[in-house]
Amino acid sequence: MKLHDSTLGALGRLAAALAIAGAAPAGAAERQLLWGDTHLHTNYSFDAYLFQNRTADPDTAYRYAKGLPVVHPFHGARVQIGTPLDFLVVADHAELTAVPLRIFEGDPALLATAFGRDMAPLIAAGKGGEVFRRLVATANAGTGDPRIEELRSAAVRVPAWHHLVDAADRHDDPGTFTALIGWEWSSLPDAANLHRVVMLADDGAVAKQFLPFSTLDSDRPEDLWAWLERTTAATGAEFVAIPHNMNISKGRMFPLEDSEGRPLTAEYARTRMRWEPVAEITQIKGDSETHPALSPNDEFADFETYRFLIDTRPDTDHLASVTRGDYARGALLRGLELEETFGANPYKFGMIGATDAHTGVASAEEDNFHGKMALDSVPEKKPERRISGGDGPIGWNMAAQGLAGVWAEANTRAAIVAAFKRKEVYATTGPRIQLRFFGGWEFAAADASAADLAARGYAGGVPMGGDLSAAPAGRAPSFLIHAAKDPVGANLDRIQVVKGWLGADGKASERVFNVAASDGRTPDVFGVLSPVGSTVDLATATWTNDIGNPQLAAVWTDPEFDAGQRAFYYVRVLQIPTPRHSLYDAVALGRELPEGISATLQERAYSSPIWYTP
Amino acid sequence: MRRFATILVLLAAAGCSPDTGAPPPDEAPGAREAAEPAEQADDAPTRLFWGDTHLHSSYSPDAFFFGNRSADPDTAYRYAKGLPIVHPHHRARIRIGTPLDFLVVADHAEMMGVPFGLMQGDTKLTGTENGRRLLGMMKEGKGQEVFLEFVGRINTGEPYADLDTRETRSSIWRRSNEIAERHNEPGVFTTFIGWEWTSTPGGKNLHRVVFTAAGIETSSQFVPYSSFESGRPEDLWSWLDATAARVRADFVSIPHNSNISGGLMFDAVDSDGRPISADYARQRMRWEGVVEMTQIKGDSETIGVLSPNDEFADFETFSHLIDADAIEGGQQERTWKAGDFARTALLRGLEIEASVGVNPYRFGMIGATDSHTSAASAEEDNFHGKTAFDSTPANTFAEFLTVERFGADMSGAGLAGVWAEENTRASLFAAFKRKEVYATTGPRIHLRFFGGFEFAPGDADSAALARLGYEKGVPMGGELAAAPAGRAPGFLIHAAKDPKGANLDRVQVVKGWLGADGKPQERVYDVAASDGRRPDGAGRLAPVGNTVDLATGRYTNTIGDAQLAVVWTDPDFDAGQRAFYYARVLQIPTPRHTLYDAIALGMDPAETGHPPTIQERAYSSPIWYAPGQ
Repeated sequence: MKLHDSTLGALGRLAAALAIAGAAPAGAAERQLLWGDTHLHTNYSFDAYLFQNRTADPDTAYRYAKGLPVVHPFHGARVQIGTPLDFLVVADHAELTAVPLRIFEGDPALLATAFGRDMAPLIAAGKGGEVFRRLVATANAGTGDPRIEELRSAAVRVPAWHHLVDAADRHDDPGTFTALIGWEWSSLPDAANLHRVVMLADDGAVAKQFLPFSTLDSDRPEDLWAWLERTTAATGAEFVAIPHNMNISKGRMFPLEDSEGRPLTAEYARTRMRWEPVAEITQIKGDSETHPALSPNDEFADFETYRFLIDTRPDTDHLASVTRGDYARGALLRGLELEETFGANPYKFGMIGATDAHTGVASAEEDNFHGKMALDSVPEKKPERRISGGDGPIGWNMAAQGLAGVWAEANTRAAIVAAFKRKEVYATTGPRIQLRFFGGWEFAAADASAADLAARGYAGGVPMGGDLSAAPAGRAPSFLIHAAKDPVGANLDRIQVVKGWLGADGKASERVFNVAASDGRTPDVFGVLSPVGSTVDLATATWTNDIGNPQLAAVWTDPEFDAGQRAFYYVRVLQIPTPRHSLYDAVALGRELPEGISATLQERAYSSPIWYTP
Repeated sequence: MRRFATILVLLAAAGCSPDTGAPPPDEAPGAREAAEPAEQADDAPTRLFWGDTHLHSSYSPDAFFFGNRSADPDTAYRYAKGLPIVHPHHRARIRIGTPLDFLVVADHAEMMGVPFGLMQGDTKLTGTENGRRLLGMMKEGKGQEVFLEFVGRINTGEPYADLDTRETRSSIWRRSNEIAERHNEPGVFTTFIGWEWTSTPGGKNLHRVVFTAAGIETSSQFVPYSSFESGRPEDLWSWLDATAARVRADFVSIPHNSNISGGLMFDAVDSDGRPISADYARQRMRWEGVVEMTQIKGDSETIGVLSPNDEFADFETFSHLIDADAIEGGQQERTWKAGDFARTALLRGLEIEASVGVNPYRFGMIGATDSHTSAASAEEDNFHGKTAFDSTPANTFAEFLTVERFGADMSGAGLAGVWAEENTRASLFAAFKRKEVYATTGPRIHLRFFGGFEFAPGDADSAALARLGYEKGVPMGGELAAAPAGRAPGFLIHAAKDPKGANLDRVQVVKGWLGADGKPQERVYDVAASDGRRPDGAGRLAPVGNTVDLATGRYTNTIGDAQLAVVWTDPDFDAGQRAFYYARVLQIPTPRHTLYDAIALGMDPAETGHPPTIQERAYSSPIWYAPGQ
C-alpha cells in the first residue's frame, strides 16, 4: 500500500499528478483522458419535450457540453457546465423522434397524421404528461398503436434523423471536441427497461444510409444485434451498443435466458459482446453497480439506489427487482459462471457512467445539476411527482450523474470508439476523478510512486478492460492503481478493488478489498477501514478538503489468488462526502429533506474490470 | 513591481485546469477555502472585508412589482453568506461565487413592505381603503399600474395616508430589524440595520442609504426617515443630528447614483439654491463621509465629456433618470454636469474648501449593488439582475416598462472593500467613518493605498508592506498636510487580483488639484503595468490586450499580472496646492454579463448595444493633501 503523506503541500501533489499524467513515453502511455456523456436527450426526444424541454435542441446540447452558456429549457435562466466535456453523444429516442416538437411547431407532415391530429390539442393545452402516460401505457401493453405505426414512415422519420446527424457533424471538431452520432433504442417489454444507446464511429454520410433501429422495429436485443450486423455489412458503419438502467430491467438486462426463454449459448455471448463491450452502470436514474441485498458485505453498496420501474399501468408492481440480472457486479459474476458452462462470457463488459438527462444539458455536477427532466430543475418542483397521483419518482430521487472517462489515442470519433471497443473506459458519478488501473505479474510497489506510472503500467501489464491469463507458477496478479481527485472537486477517501471469482463449486463470489486510504488510515485486522469522516455543513451546504487526499496510489497483489479460478477485478474509488444536489435544494428552500432522500454522498469512480482466465 | 506570489498562483492555475482555456476556479463552489494574498499574512493592523451596503428585498415596493415577491431580507442574508437560495423570478437555485462578510439590507423607507404585506394579507394594510384598492389591482394583474402610482407618489412626496401610519411603518421596520439581528454574527458575518431614503425630486436621484452601527434596541426607537418627511438632504442630516442625539446612535449616510441626479448630488448650491456654506459642508461631512460611486445603475466615477484625457472614463455609463413621467412619456435628453460624478465632485470640493474653508465633498468611495432581487450579485458570470425580472437572458433584452431601459443596460457591479480590525459592526462602521474603504465593480481586487513623505521604492516589495504603509504614512481616506520642504508625497500601492478572477492590467493614480488660478485640474498617471509594459514618452501605456473569445465567453490569464505594486511619487507636486489622489486598478478585459447572455441566446454580441467585454476596476478612497498654513 502506498499512501501519500497527507502533510505534503497540495500544490506539490497536484504537480506530481501532472507529472504522472504528462511524463509517459511514446505509445499507449500517451493516451489521454477524455470526458464525455454518451447519453443525452434533447427536445427531439418525445418524453423530454412533453416534460417541458421545448427549447433545448441538439445544438444547445453541444454548446452546453463545450462549455458555452445556454438558456435552461424550463426556468429560462442561463446555465453553464462547470468543466466542459470532450465528447458527447446526443442519443434521442429513436421512437417518435421529434414528433411532439414538430406537432407543436405545426409541421404539416405531422399534422397530416392521425396521431398528430389527436395529440395536438393535448399538447397545446399543456397536457404533456397525459400524452406521455398514453404513450408509455401503449408501449407497456405491448400493442403498437396503429396511429403510432403511421409515424414510422420514412417521410416522417428521415427529416428528424438527418437534422440530428447534421448537428453532430457540424459540432464534431477532431482533436478538440467529438460529437458522435447516436440514438437510443427504447425497448421496454412489460416495463422491463432493456434500453440501449447506440453510437457509431462514422460521419453523417454513413449515418444517412439508415434510419435508427427502434423498439417499434423490435423490442428484442437479439434483433437489434442482427440489425447492427446487417447495417455494418451494408454501410461499413462501426457501432457500439450500450445497455443502461439494468437496475429497472426486472432482471432482464443480464438474463440467463434469451428473449425466447432458451438458455444462453456461446453464440449469444459472442454476438452480444461484439456489440455491447461496455455498459452504462451509473446515471441519473440511479447506480447499477450492485445492491446491498446482493452484496451484503459491501458497506458502500447502497449508493443512489433507484427502483422506480418505467411503468404507469395501474395494478402492477412498480418496484424494480433485485437480482444479479439487474446489477453490473451481479452480471460480471454471472458471466464467469456462464463462461465456465459454455466457453464464452456474455457479460464481459467495461463500465461507464452517463447522464441520460432529458434537458439538453449534460449536467452531472451536484451543485450544478439541471434535472432529469426539464421541470425537475428548480428546487420547488423537485419534491413533486412528475405525474401526479402515481407512485413514481420525484426530482430528489434522481442522481446527479454520471460521466465516462475514456483513455483514447486522440479526441476523435474513431479513437473514442476504439477505446470503447477495448473497454479502456471507466465510470464516474460526476466528478472528474482521474483513474489509472493496470494488471500484470511484475509490478513492484515503487511503480505506484513513479513519475512514469502509466508507461510502467502499459509496459508491464494490461490496462482496464484487458485480460490476464495463465499465471506464471507461484505468482499472483498485481495491480497498479493511481487515482487523483477532480482538480476542482473533493479529495479522495479510498481506493478499493472489487474481485469476483468462480469457486470450485462453479459458483461465483465477490469480495471488496481496501487497497489505499487517505489520511494515513490502515485497515484493521478484518480489513475494515475506519470512515473518512465528513466535513459537510448541513446548514450551509459547504464542505472542505480538510480530510481525504488529493491522490492515492497503490500496487496491490491479490492475497487470495488461485491460478485455477476465473476472476475479474475492478477498482472503485470513493470521494470524501460532499453535498448531494438535494441538500443544496433543501438549504435554498429552508426545509428538511424527506425520509429516504440523502443530504450527502460519496461520489465514486468505477474502472472497467481486468479479467483473469486460467 | 512585486511578483513574489505570482509563480504560485500560476502553478495553481496550471494544475487546476490543465485542458481548458478558461481560468480555473481556485476551488469548487461550496468549498470554503479562502485564498488570502500573501501580503495579508503580515502583521498589518487591518484586514480586508467585503460587503454590499445597498441591497433591496421583496420589502421594497419596486422590487416587489418587478418580480421579487418571495426573496425577503432573510433570503438576502442567506445569499450573502454563501447559501444557495431560490431566485425570486425564475425559481432556479442560485449561489454567490464568493460569500460576503457583511451586508446592509436597505429597503426603501417609502411604503416599505406595503405591497408585500398586502399580498401576505397583513390586516393592518388590507383593512385600509387604499390597501383594499391596491390589492384588488394587484390581484387583477395590474401590478405595473400600482407600481407607477407608487413611483408617482414617491416623486411627488405624497404618501397614502392610511398606509403610511406610524403603526404600519414600525411593524415592518421591526420585522426587518429582527431579521438583521438574527443574522449578525460578530467575527463571522455582520449585518447593519439600514434603509434607503428615496428622494427623487423631478426624477433626479438624490437617494441615500442610511445605516447604523446600533442594534434593534436602538433602531426600534425610530422609524426610518423617508422622502415623504422631506426630499431635502439637509432635512435628512438634521434628522440624523437629532436622532443620533436622542437614541445615542451613530449613522452613515451614503449617496448613490449621482450619475442620474441631474447634477444635484454634488451641486455647488444647497437645496434652496444658496452657495454651499461651511455649515452645510460640516453637516454633510458629519454623515456622508462615503459615496457609493459604482453600482448596477452605472458607474459614477467620471465620464469622457468631463474627463476628456482619461481613456478609461466611459465605463458603464447609465443615463436613465428615475421618473414616472419619463417612464410613461419617454426619456429626456441627458446633459452631464460636474454634480453628477465623484471625480468632479472631489474637484469641486477643493474649490469650495478654498472658498469657505470646509470641503463638503471630501468623501471616500465604495461600490454596492442596489440589486432588487435580494441577491447581492456583482459577478458578471453570476449576475442575477437589477430587478428579479431582469434575471434571464431573454428578459435581459426585453423591455419591461415603456421606456428604453433594459436589463442589458445594467452593470454587474459593485462591492465595498473595507479595511477593518475585525468583522463586527463597530469595527466596520469605524472604517466607513475614517473612509478606509474602497470600491470595486465586482471583483475582489485587493488594494492597499498609503500616502506619505518617507516611502522608499523597496517598500513595495516588502512582505510587511501594509505595516510600513501605516507606520510611514496614512491609509486611503487619510490626509497629508504641510509637505516637508522639497519633498513630494509618495504613494505605496499594492493590488492583487481576485483569487478566482482575472489578472490586472495596470494601477493608475488619479490626481486632482487646484491650480494657481483656483481652477480644478485632473490628471491620470499610469504608475504600474503588467507584462513589463512601460509608458511611452507621452506617458501612455500600450493596451494590455484582450483574451476574451467572443464565441465562447472564455478568457485566459495569459496576459496581465496577478499582482502589481509600486511606490509612486508625484512628479508634478506643488506644496502650495490643495490636491487629492486616489488609485484606480484595471483588470484585463473580461466578458460583460450581456456577452454570456448573448451567447446563451445565440445572438450576435454586437446586437446587445453594449461592449462585449469590460475592464473591471477598483477605486480607492482618496488621500488629500492640504498645504500648510
